[in-house]
Amino acid sequence: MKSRLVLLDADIIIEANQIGVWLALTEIVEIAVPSIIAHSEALFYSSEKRGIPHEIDLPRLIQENKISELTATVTEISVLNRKFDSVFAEVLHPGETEALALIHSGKASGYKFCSGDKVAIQGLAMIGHSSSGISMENLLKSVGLTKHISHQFTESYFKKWIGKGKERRITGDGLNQGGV
Amino acid sequence: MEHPNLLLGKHIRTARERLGLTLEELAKKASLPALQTVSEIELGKREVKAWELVNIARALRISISCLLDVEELSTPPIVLWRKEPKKDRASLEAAFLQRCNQYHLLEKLSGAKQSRKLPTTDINPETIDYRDAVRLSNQICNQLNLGARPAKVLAKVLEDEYSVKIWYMDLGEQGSAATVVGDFGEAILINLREAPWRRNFSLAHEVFHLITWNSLPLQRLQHDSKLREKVEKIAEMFASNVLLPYEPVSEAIQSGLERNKITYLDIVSIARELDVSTEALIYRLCSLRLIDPAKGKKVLSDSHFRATDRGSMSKYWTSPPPIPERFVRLAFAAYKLGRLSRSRLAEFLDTSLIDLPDILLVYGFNEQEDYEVEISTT
Repeated sequence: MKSRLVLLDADIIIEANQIGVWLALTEIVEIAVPSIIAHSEALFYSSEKRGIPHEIDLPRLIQENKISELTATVTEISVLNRKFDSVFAEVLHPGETEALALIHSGKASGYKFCSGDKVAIQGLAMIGHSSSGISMENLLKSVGLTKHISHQFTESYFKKWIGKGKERRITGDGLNQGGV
Repeated sequence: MEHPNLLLGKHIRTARERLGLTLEELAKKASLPALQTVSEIELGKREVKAWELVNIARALRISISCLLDVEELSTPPIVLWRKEPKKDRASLEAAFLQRCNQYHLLEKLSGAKQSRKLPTTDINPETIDYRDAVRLSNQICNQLNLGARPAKVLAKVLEDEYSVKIWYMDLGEQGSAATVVGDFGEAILINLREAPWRRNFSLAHEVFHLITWNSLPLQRLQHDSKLREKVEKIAEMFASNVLLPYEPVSEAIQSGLERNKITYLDIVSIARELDVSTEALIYRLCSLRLIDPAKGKKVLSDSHFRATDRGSMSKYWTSPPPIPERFVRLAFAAYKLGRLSRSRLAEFLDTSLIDLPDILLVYGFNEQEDYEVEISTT
């Protein structure tokens, strides 16, 4: 029985592959990825700086049931988009938008969204789901994996941008005033 | 209110028809299994998967938010072409307009200051003539402060001081340049295949269209070939006057004038120095009566002159950046401010997450560097 449910952003998948914890993670954590990241993006990683890029074959891992994919409907994405103003709706990558739509709709209930992207992290707090997020540092710690990770994946970074997102939720910056 | 699937289907159909794509072509471009799938989606009979929506939006060069909007799709602004590309005009226009919208989004996100406005002018399409070209070129040269080598600074001045969005795309052998004014501001599209001096000329030519945008009725320009021809000739003259002002040109040719002759090599060197084509320079010398027009024509048809001209080209040939430097600068600023997602940044810069740091370095930006270090001012 896997201990945790996490919904991963593309940058986490790349970093986990880069630092060599991806396999271990897939074995001990219940990993889900938004369908857009699984199907519309080709992800690559390289274990060395400027090394040969290796493709991360998410569809194969899904087929082998090592990870799963979660799909948001167009309606769920529309509902999420209407929470944001017209500018903020354009600054997220579609994969991140889908992840937030899954969290917001309750379809990813029980999953924690893990991202190292400051805008995606803010978005999570802006829709009032701060507690549905987890930093990569905390995720690794929680399953007993310790590795040196880049600054953007640390707990302090995550907290900083959750904080900014909470502020924006209060001020309404980036939110559709009629839709909150 | 219409069902979301029905509304989405309607938007997809409108956007597809605007691009002149068949159901089959869209299915192929969006990696959908068959044309029936697109047909069912357009009729609102099939739930669109999120990743399919992304593929469709990319194929149609439209944002997902627009496709999901409850309002009707807005009509895109008219793009005024100088010479239309032979193939894919609609899809090139859509790609250009999408870039203009992204550019404008980045201006908002990065807090770019409201820049100066290009002068606009009232011109009567019935009476417009060469005197207008001279008057407007003088006005532009002075206002934009283009100095003695206008071609070398024009693009930068337009971008940095007037926020004119300049984009370079492959418009094929036939395509030349285009201009558009929309909610995003003023924008110019240039064919990246053209020689650098030809691109400069196209740019100056398109500035004429920008400053006369509100005076010359676009619909008429598109359909009245006589007016179109006249306006194009005046725009050519405007471009020539802007890039080759009297004083720097006569100064450059001074030693030749003193000797009453000028060598082919001199003409080529002056053209390269001023960053214009030799044709443009010779026509300008003729119009300024610095050389006899008959002699000018003879020079241009002389194979020896052509060989001298071609021989000097490679040394001066430069390619435009695949993505404008200002666009990258604004995107990076927005990203650093926490206003643009990193994946979206990569998407805007046409690259993958893994290659993003290298692409940014090409433009002089280092993701790891702290750009927020401050110094106190006096």
